Amino acid sequence: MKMKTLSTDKNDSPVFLKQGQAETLAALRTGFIKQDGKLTRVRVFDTLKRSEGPEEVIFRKVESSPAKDLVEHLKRGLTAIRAFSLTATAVPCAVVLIDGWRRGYPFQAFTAITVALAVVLLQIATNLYNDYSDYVKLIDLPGTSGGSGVFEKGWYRPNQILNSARFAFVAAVVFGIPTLISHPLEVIIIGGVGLAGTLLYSHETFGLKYHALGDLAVFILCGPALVAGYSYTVFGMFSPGLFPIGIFVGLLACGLLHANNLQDMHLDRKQGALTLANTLGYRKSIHLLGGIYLGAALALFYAVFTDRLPVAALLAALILIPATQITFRFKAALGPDCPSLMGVKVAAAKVHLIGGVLLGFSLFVAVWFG
Amino acid sequence: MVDKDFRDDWALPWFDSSLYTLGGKGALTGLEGVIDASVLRGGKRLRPLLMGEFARFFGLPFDAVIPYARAAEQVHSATLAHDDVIDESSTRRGSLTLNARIENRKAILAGDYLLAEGIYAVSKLKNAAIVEGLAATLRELVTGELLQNEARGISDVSSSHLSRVADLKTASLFRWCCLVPAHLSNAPEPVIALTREFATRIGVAFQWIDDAVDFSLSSGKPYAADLREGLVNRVTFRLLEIAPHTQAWVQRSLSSNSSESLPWTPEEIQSAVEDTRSAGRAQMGAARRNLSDLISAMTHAGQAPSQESSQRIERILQRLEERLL
Repeated sequence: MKMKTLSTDKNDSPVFLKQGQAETLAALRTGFIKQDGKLTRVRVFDTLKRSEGPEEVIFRKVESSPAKDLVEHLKRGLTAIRAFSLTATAVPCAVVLIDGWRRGYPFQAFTAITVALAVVLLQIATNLYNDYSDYVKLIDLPGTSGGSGVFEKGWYRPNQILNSARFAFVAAVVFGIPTLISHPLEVIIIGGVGLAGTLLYSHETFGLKYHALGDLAVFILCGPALVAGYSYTVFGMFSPGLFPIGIFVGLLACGLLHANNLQDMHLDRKQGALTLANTLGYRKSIHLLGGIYLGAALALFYAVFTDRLPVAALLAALILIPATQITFRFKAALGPDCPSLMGVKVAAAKVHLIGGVLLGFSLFVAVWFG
Repeated sequence: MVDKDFRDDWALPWFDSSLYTLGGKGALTGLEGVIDASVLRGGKRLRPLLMGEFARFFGLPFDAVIPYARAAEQVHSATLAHDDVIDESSTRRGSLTLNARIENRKAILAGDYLLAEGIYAVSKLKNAAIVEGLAATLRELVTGELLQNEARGISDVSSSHLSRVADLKTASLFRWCCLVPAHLSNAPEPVIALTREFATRIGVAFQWIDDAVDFSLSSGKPYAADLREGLVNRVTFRLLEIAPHTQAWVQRSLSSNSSESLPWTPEEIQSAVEDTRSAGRAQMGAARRNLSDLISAMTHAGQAPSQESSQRIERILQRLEERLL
């Protein structure tokens, strides 16, 4: 029986397109559909399983909402690149640089800056590409907590984000070229490890993040591996302080990811992604989060106790205050979906940033006060 | 009281209040009278209507689902009674609320009593799948209410939170209402899955309708009532996206029950309301496709629904959609 539909005569009626068709892929990638001979800007609203045939993608018309001024442009850009997560790469580089400098290791400022920029730009490229990819693969649908939200808000189209990711990647390579010329072996090895780690982390089939090993991968890649790689590239050596610094920043990055996964545990489980958070369950995951932050602080105590870092480094242990607040927020919430946990991901990123800033500052200050 | 907009003759039996009232047959005759006069009085009766038409859709007689439809409306009314206490509302559907007639403590217990009546009536029918479904529905309802309550006073709720609350608080009972006839008719699993999907879609659409109506001057309800009760609904969420500089005002307003005039222009409000309606229309469009698939699946299973029942369900969808225009 053919279903009658109410004629709304509204030009924003939803559009249903079958998955896998060229028109659907074009709409997903470009953010436009051709209707009545003209291009209409759309975004994904939802998917619809049909009893016969492929799943359909529901598109809704979206009005362009251009940024009103430069400040808003900047805010949107920072949202798109997930600026709060860049502490994962920027902070370890900054801390290692300060530590090497205070130990009097010779280095070239140009190399230090360009390598750090390359690392951060690679993370930006990864963030942007993940957002694009998850949108086009219909993983981050509106009404779910994944994605930066820039597509849902109509700020950017998918191909704009993809082009930005490509640009960031090229910029990372450009910044990396001088060091590639001066230190080819180091860059190839360290770059290779980083690239392999990134691919291994998010591969569709055997990705570590889908097998409850994402936390470990992030700890290593954003901790000891990044710290060692940056140190060797810039200073040509590993300082005694590297190990505790790597553990400290690695655990803070791990805490950031774990807090994210804690909040998204139901969504991840629904999508078949096995994270440490949804494997352990809510209560045990909260205990693990507390343990991660405590471990980061203990790494500092160990480093000071074994003279690898100056006493001033204990200043960074102050991150236990906001870290404890985050842990208690999770404890007090009714569950991972609780709206009282809004902003906890940003709070966890701030812990990472504050920890790195405090550690860097303390190392800097230790130079002047011995 | 009949929904003045819904005059279709076939729907009229569902608006007979005596179908739902407790009638003073229990031990607490006086309390039942107060409940009957307040929270069980009037209403759109959408849930019983859907259940009744899905009964016909699945080839069941009208009488087969009356006890379940009654229970659905009693469960729904019980949640309204509790809501009225939490929101300190004094009127609903043009008459005094339960908590306006009796003290809050008694009103809460009266809501529990109504809930218990509904559950007991369903359990007496001894259909384990349906009883389990009702229990699961109640768990979802309460989870949705709790999550919504936790969001009271929070301005930066996420769209995933709003969607989840809509699904748990509103769509859950719609699902049970549509699934009861499916279970009673021993429908195959693919039919049940499609029914569940259809009910979810219209349940969420109904919540978006409600959110849009909250910003309607002609609804007969207080304007932007959700905001004044400390809650961000889908329209307010969209307004915060359109005008992020109003976040601070909204946060203040949610915490203080302020009577300040809203900080948005009429155009901004209209845009946000229209966006919410558009989302509702998208859900309705998807629901129609679910219904079409459902009819095909039933036809393949040799249980093609009658054209009349399909048209009546379509009529219900139209009525819902007209509220979205």
